[in-house]
Amino acid sequence: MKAIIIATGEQTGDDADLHCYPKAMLTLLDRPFLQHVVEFIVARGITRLDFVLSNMPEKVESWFGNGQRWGATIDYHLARNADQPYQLVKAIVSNADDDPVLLVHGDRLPLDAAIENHPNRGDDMPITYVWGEEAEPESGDSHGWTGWSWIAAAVVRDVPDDAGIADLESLCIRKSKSEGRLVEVRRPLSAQTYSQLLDSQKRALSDHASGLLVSGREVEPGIWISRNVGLPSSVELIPPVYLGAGSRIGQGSKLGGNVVIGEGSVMDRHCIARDSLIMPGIYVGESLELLDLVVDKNHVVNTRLGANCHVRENFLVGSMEVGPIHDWIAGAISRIAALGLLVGGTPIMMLTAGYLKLFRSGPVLFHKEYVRLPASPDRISWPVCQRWSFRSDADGQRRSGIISMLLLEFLPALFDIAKGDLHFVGVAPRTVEQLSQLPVDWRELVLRSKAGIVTEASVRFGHAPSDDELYCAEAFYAVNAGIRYDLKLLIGWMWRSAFGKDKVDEAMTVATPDTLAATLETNSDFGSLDRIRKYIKMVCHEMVRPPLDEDETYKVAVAVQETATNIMRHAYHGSPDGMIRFEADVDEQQLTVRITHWGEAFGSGNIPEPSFDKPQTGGYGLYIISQYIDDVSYCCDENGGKCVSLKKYLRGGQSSGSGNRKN
Amino acid sequence: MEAVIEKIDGVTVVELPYDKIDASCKPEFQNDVAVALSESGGKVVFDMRKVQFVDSVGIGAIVSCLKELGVSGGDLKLCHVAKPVRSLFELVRLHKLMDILNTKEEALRAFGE
Repeated sequence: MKAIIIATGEQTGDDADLHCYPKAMLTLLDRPFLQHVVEFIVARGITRLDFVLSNMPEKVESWFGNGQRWGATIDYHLARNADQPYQLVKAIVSNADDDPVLLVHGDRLPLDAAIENHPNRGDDMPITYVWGEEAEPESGDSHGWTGWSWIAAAVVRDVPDDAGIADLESLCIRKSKSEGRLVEVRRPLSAQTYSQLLDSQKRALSDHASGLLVSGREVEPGIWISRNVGLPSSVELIPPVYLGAGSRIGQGSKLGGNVVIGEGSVMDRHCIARDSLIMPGIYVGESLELLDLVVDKNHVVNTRLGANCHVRENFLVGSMEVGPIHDWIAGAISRIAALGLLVGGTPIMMLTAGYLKLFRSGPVLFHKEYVRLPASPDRISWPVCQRWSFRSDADGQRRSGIISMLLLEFLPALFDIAKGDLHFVGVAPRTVEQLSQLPVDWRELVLRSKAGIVTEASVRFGHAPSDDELYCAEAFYAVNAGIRYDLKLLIGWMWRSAFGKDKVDEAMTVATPDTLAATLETNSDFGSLDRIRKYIKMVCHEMVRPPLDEDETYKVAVAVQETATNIMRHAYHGSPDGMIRFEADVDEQQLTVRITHWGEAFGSGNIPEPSFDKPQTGGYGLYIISQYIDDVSYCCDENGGKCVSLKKYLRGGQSSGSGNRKN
Repeated sequence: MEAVIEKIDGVTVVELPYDKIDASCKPEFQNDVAVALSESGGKVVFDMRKVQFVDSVGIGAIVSCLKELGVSGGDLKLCHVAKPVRSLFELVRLHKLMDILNTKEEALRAFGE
């Protein structure tokens, strides 16, 4: 038996769309709504699933894969128009040899035992499942469609290609009355709109989640708690409420009724939440009141008003505002301390410069441009400063020990800290281009902060944080910055550098026993692309441990090949005589491919998103690189080479994929 | 290697013989499909079962074919697209411009309807 699951992510006309997921992938209790649908279908013995997708199909495909995890076989079909996917349904049904097929709309789930497991081939079709509570008297119809029907090829043969869901509904109900059966079932759970999703979570929790697979247990009627939840005794829980695995609730908070806290989310102290869904991995700041909301990162949907709000202020991640006098005092202390260290450290700096001059090729000092923070949102008015460093950008991306960091990065930066352009602790200094490329909410948060040598991310997440980690760290730092907190981070950073995971033994090292490197040099001939792909495949399969899977390898190969093709076309203008060098470094946290050429410099500016609405024969390359690679940076080396560095973060041997913030 | 071209019920099915479509084989691809497109009558299916790698140059080449067919009211469908290639097509929303179907039969049927 086969089921066709329509999950096209059609727009419902609801302005509150998050635009990050198809609605069926929103969370119901502990997992995506669509996963509940799949589990319900598989539990009925139907293991051949055909998904019909259209908007953001990659989100669904990457979640469900080939279906093996659910004991099912999944095929995916892509509809051009999300509102009119039924031409594909006709094709799939007619391919099923007249066997009945269960047609399912993935944003609805009628949890009812009346849904037949296996109608016979000879049964009258269609069998349409309706519910009776929400009748529409004016239409003369006393039933509402659940979106679920057993159909056969003959039922959908006459469906026009441009049929929408209303056409299919009327067809299924009409034919069921005349040729098949109408079966009344319970009102389905629904993720068609955000308010229906909140209503569904309330019904599911009130009904002991019967019929759903849910992790955690019901400790009291309507109160569900998963594993590893931090719950102080002063928290008041009003059923129904569901606390996801690893969530943390602050003291004095009051949650419920009808509240779901997603996996790993943190509610700070004295929060009040009612009729709300907090998606996984969200931090909610102190003393906030959340009513009728769906919250995901800095997007908030108010289901009562039907409005989508993109939160630009940082109150979602904190409520502490520091006054200007406090800022001034902190700045003055930082400058005086830098001046003192500069006086004391000048001899060491001179010695370091002398050592580098003698024993290292290339320039001793490097200029690094960055935007002085805080700055206004207007890009034109961003003040650009230059700081000194004994390390190039490329060297700066490598892991280094505390001595190397202090001598090569920290000491020269004391000039800038003493001038007041930079601070000891802050968010990472960024160039105008890097700042422009940040998502708008992130950028505004950075623009309100101060830039520093030591960052929250380097203390919390080490040398190579992912996009999400970096965002969380900078958002957290932006609201916690202060003299005491900065001091705490500085000590934490020194401790981590000296004793933490990122420590390396030698002061100025680039190669450690747990770092692998491989180099390839080719000419700028398109015929070299095969060699480049083989080289990347070797790196991903033999140097990365455990090896990247085929999909991730493909992503790295495409990104590297796009870069190489751009170099061949734009740096060497199609001449096959140029040289391109590929250097791959792999450590436990990241795979870095550094591509160096000696042609004309090109393209380190903003990455324009191609137009997806009309056929376009070019302009996809940089977009693909930005989606398949976690970090792209450009630099020049001491020999005049122009470098493009592509970085892929590895997590427990698996790549982080294209970061979550890349929606 | 030359593309295998067959006509089935008025639809031209081109089985692409390359394991990749990128800058290195774009001229070859264009030459091969130019003949097929000119003689197609407007309905064309690219059978991509042998293609294991496509980059943005390859996507551009395929979109060029779609545009060329679109001028005369024709259409292009793709079938048997390898999983990572398909993910790339989804990333650039190619499935909104042309039908990407799992099998040749589905593609032929889609033209028939």
